[in-house]
Amino acid sequence: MNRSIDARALPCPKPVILTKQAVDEGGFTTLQIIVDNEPAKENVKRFLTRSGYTNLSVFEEHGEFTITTDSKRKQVSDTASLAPKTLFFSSEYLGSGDAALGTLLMRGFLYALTELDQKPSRLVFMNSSVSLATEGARTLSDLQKLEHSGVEILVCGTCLDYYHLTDKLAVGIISNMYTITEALLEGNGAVNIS
Amino acid sequence: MSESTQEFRYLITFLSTFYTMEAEEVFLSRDEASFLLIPTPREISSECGFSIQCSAVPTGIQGIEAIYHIRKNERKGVRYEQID
Repeated sequence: MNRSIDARALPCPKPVILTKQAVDEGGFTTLQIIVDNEPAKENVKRFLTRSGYTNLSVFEEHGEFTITTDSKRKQVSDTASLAPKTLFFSSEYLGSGDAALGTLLMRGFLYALTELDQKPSRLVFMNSSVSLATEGARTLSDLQKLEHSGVEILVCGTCLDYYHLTDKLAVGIISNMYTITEALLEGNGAVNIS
Repeated sequence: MSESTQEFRYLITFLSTFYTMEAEEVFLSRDEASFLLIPTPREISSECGFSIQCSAVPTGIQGIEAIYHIRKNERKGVRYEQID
């Protein structure tokens, strides 16, 4: 059975909630979700990938996206108890104190993460920490390396907008409060870094 | 843009973090691609310090504690040999 969800014009996180309902109910051979904006497309894709669906395709036409998956699903729950953590960054500085030292410590911390064998599953950037993921930031190459190695990077959209940095985002994906709160409560919990 | 994937020949440690930060300014004023500021590797210091990896050691750097040759070996990993 082909199941199709029309999630156009629905506010976030509704598209993901509808997708989750369809996944929980199951019984489809292919599942299609239609959305009309980029963040919704990314959120749905990410949800499906995290749920074990790896055979995804995305078709774009006139600003609308159709995400399609078959019913093949990798088992993901077995390793959930060992899943590495989410790291939550709320400032561009590491710790409070002198700004120059805080900047240096943050750079060192992100570099050290790239050297770890067991990397965190996800980094979440909020408030002034979003600048770490933008063009010209000295932390950018390390974040790109982490993303390349499979670490998910979520960046607060409200914060990018507030600091006029949305156009400058150079790594990670723009996310919203719902996805971020979900991310912080998933798996082995989160560690606050800044 | 400093690239950590680049192969650097030297690692410089400093007498204090202030000198590391000053040295970075010197590197930046010359060639951004020629260095990488990193936390000092555990093999060299157990303290939380910062050092600079580079392709060549420029003149005019203050507060140098030691300079190491970076030796990479597939089986033994990275070794640091101090230069007298």
